[in-house]
Amino acid sequence: MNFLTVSARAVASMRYNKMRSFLTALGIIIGVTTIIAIVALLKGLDRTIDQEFSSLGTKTIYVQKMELEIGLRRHRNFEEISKRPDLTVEDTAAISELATVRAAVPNIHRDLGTLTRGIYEADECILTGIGEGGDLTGNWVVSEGRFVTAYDQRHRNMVCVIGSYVADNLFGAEESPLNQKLEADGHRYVVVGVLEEKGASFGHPQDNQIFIPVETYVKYYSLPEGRAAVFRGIRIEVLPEEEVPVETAVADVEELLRLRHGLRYYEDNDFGLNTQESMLSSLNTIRSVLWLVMVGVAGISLLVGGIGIMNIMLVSVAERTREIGIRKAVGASDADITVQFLSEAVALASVGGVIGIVLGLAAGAFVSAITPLQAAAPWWTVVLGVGFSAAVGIIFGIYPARKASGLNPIDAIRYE
Amino acid sequence: MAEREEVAAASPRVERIIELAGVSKVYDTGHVAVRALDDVDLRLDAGEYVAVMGPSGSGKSTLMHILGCLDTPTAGSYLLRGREVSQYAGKRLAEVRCREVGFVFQQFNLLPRLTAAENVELPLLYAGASAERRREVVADLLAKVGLSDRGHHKPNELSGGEVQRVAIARALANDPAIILADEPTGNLDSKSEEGLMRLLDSLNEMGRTLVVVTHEDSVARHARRVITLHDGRVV
Repeated sequence: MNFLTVSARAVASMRYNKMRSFLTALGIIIGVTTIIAIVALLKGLDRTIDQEFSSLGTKTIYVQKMELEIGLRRHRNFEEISKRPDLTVEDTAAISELATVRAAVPNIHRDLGTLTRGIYEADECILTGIGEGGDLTGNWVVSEGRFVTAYDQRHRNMVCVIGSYVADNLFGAEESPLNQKLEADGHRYVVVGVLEEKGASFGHPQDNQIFIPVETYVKYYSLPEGRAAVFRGIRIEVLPEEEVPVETAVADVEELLRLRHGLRYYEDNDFGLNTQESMLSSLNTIRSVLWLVMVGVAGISLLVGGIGIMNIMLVSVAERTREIGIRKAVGASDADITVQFLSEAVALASVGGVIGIVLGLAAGAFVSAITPLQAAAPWWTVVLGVGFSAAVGIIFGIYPARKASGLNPIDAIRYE
Repeated sequence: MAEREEVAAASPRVERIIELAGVSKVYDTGHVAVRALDDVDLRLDAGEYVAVMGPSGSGKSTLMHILGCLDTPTAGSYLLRGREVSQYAGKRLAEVRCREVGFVFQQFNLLPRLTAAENVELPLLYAGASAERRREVVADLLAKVGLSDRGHHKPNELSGGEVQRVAIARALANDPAIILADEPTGNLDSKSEEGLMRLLDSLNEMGRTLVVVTHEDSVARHARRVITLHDGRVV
């Protein structure tokens, strides 16, 4: 008998007992649905996180008063953090002297709220004082003009570089913002550069920035101190040299700052060195826990599904003992009987698997439709789903099938 | 014994199709060993028509099962067309059942889920015949047993006589040389019995070797030789 005949018979037999077949396949359906849906969600999560981080510099080290972590936030004593020394523009200069550091850029910002310019309006603008090289560390691309330069810093020039949102909303479509004047918080700046759009990062818009030289910023605004400086103080963005691993630069910056802060060997750091990796570390823990949960849930439901299939196949063999005897009497070999029952088990499991794949993909599409998470199961999960369910069919079908084929034809024929 | 040797001597070129020598079958039920067949010798030539008679428990069915390779003897030799099939197992026995012998049961033993045509098709399927050939042979056989128009019916939609004719068509599917019928009319009324026996007679007339187990003289009369079993021995 060829493959087609065997499959056709298996499907016919399955249809003979529709309800029972469905209930039997249910375990597999749930198992495969779980696999596909969770893989789709995890992949969506990965993709979303990648998108968020792609707007940050992948190699950039963010030196701040506190350690940042996304996801599980460890309990920290905020009192201790607020008493830490504030980071300074001088710290930035010292860090930029390090051999392993390509650029160290101070970054300090304040909210401006709504800005107006004639008939134009832009909401929630942020004024940021930044050092030269801030485009490198912040992963900004200048689309028109230039970024803030060392010359601007030295002369405390009244210039600004604006994000695409600010450019689009404060300037008309026909005019170029370059060399135009922009009034913010009572000071007038000349626009010298416009940045490419970056989109939001972790729900925060980024294109609402107005960058001015940090020296200009310091001239007009006093730096926050103590408690206020934890979130609002200077942040130092450090970009390691081209060939230098991030960890090496982190170690150098750490040593330098410990020295500058006069820390003893037994004292902990009183500053945070935040890299993409350190921020992601707890997220990765969550991710691996989710993967483990998926493997567990899927494994258990496939096991349960497999046992269900084995159980129903054993019932089927018992019910059809006479049929097996007759088939053997008219010439079926042990192999023919084994193939018949094994193919039924595999067909049950595979149909369950296919239904599971469809449901899993639908679940992923549903989540994508109602949340910003772009859940999508990669193609290999489909292969995995089919493979897993077929394997379950074979593993749990082989015993009942062997039991059927081992029946003595005469005893089987007489069985009532 | 004398009669059989006479037949063999009279037509020396006829094939010796079945040869049992000292065949015994012992069922070990745990505490008692039941000797269902005891040192049976039997020779059948191609084209013979034999009735096997005897009281219940005399070993008729066991003999049929061994002849039909559904079972193997505990001792003795069984030459089927010159091959020692008593030593066969598994796959080779299945092949003999598939191609060399056709079995007709008292209980008909059609598969209730399959149609008449599908039942007839089964042995062809196991013999690996192509779909086209299967369709051809099934149509041909159903016509031969007079059920061309009943092919799509399930067994429970057919009369007893019709079911047994389907069973005969199934037994003929792979064109076996030997037909073994175990009380084929046991569950039929006398009218159906007549028709069925005529059908079996015609098979023999076409040259098939026919062995019919029965305890009815009316059936045994159709055969040209009667073998009587008693307590597992040929008498």
